[in-house]
Amino acid sequence: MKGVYGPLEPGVEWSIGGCRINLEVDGETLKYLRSCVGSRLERVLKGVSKIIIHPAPPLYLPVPGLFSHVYIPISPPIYLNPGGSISVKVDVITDLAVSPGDGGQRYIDIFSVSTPKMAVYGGAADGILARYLYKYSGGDLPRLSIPIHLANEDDDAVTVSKVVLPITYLDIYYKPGENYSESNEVIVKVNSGVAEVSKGGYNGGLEPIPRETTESLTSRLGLDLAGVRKFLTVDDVFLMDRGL
Amino acid sequence: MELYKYILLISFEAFNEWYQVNSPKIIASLVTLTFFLVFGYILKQLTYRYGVRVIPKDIARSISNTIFYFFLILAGFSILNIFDIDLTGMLIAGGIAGIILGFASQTVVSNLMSGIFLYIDRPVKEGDPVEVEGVGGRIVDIGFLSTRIVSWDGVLHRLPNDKVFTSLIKNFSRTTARRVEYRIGISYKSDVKLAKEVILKVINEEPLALIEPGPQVFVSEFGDSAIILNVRFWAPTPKWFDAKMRVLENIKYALDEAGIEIPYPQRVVWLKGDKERG
Repeated sequence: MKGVYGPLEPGVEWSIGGCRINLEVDGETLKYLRSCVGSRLERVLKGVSKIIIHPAPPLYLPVPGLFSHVYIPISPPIYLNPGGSISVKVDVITDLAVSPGDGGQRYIDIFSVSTPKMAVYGGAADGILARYLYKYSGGDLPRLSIPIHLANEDDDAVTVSKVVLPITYLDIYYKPGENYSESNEVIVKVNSGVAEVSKGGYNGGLEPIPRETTESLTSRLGLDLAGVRKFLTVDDVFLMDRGL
Repeated sequence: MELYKYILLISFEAFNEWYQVNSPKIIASLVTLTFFLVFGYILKQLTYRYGVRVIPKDIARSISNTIFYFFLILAGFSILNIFDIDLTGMLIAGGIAGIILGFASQTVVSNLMSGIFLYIDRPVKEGDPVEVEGVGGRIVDIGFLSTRIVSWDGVLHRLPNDKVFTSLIKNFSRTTARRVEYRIGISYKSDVKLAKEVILKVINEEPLALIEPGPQVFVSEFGDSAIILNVRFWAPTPKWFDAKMRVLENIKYALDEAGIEIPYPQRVVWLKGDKERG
């Protein structure tokens, strides 16, 4: 079965971008096997009759708990004259998660079809560690489309080559039967060389991905998502003050 | 009656008489001591439990310990008061003793003051991976007088606070990312460009190697036996060592696979007369 999101019944093989999932009935349990280039995961599932494959929030890979921001490269960079604004869609490769089809918030597996990488926004000494999202380059890879509205409210022209934002500003929605997903809009307003990044709305009508609760993430991964909101964040606006 | 038995009897009778006179005071003292101990302990626990939510763990522990010791001192004064012991005399005697002790305990005071300054300056905190006075390890406790470090090989080191405060402290946890650096020699016959590509590919395939700041591979030296390549990349500080270990090993495999030789130290020897002999 070609890799599309949605439920996967036992006995059907699923694959996408070098990753393959096998789900087989083994007595009263299900045997889950996922193999990608260089990684493999095997699980015995009890009390689960099917699984759901969907995009994962970019906060688990490569190491959960290390970062709480997302780094979206804009390539090629966008040059904005004073007073100019533009709405673009940045397509990136998303991580994938496997949830139990019978409910439950904890993922069975989280994996990536590419090497998950991180980047520092700002200096190595006091910068912000963020998950780097690769630009989607076509093919059948899992794609996440992020609508970004850029507005230059400065007196000078600016060139924007990246958008960094707290993970909590990015909600992901997916459509079962396809390998396409999209997020809410991200609003970036540049003023005095500093970008104010805020969370926009979502009107697309796709299904929200199953997510772990903030409390669960905090207790399980030590990821203080509530604290993320406060860091360089004023009134729910994240300040990109270390370069655009 | 033998002498020692006589002394024992006298002592017992004296104690008995003293006890009968002072028993209410003894009971009152025990009650006072128990009260202060229990109350001090509860307050200590509560201070730590609630303090740890708003201030660092080590500071919360020190404050809660101080509260407990304060209650112990209070208990001592209260018991002296129960036995009608004049505190004025003790204070005078304490003052003189204090001067003597002051001279004798300069190091202790120095450590105590350094401990307080360590709390104010906060160059390290509990759990930090550090190197102090040549001891590399993780801080497990910062007390008023000393700091305890468990070195990487699992040995507990106790360092006086004045040493810690005046030493060069390397704190490995205060930055977002740390640089990993290797010097790798390849043979003069090897393709430098290919070697750089192979090494960069290994770094790019390592999840812990950061994309920004980006990696660097460059020729840094023409050595006696090899061309020296400097390899640099950055990794998140908590995972620096994992990245350092893994990437170096993978570079070795990748260079082997690409047929790039990492040469042994070698020397070319010319014997006198070789040229004449052809």
